Amino acid sequence: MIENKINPLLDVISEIDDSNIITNTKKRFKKLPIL
Amino acid sequence: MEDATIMNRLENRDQSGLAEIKSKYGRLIKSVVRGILKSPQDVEEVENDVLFAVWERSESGAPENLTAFICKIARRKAVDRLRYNTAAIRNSDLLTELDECIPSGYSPEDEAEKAELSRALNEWLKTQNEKLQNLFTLRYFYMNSVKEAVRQCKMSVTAATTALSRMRGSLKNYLIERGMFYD
Repeated sequence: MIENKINPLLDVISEIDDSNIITNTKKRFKKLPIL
Repeated sequence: MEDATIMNRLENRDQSGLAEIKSKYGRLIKSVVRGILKSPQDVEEVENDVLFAVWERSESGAPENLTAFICKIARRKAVDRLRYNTAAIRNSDLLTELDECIPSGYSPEDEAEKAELSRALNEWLKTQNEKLQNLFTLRYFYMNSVKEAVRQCKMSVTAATTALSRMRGSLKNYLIERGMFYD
């Protein structure tokens, strides 16, 4: 099963602090094309 | 529309709140998902999964930060799809890199152990400077390629590759020192 081969960090990294995500989100929003 | 108003609608089971989420955060959701999955059909379907999950989870109360809440759900749903599409895993390089931090055979036994690992990861990340925190987040949370990540971090590919390699080694040592696993 592929699940057993996938590193547990792949899931755990989903739980990194909001502050890290938001910092990058601001940059991400800036780069998105206007629809 | 303000996030608080949107969340208020969702908590009151008002579906117009969901339409607002889609209008305000749809591009962000797609951007996060597109970093992990390439198929436009997958992106479209996962966006719907994300909206559904936001609807379900918002019943239990407003998150502290709606943007981060949505990004986390988007990433989780995209990773679930990636796992489902076993043949389409495009981030095998990334998984190999993660294996350098924790052996792939290691698996947290329960939620408590997983939470402990998550705490340790966040503690470790705080020991890195802001630029490196951003680089780590882009590469391993948003699962961007190194090339994509350096565009936002203003680093060269070589510098970023070296920095990521050092961070993986540092994280591994940090986890070993805290008895999370043995080398």
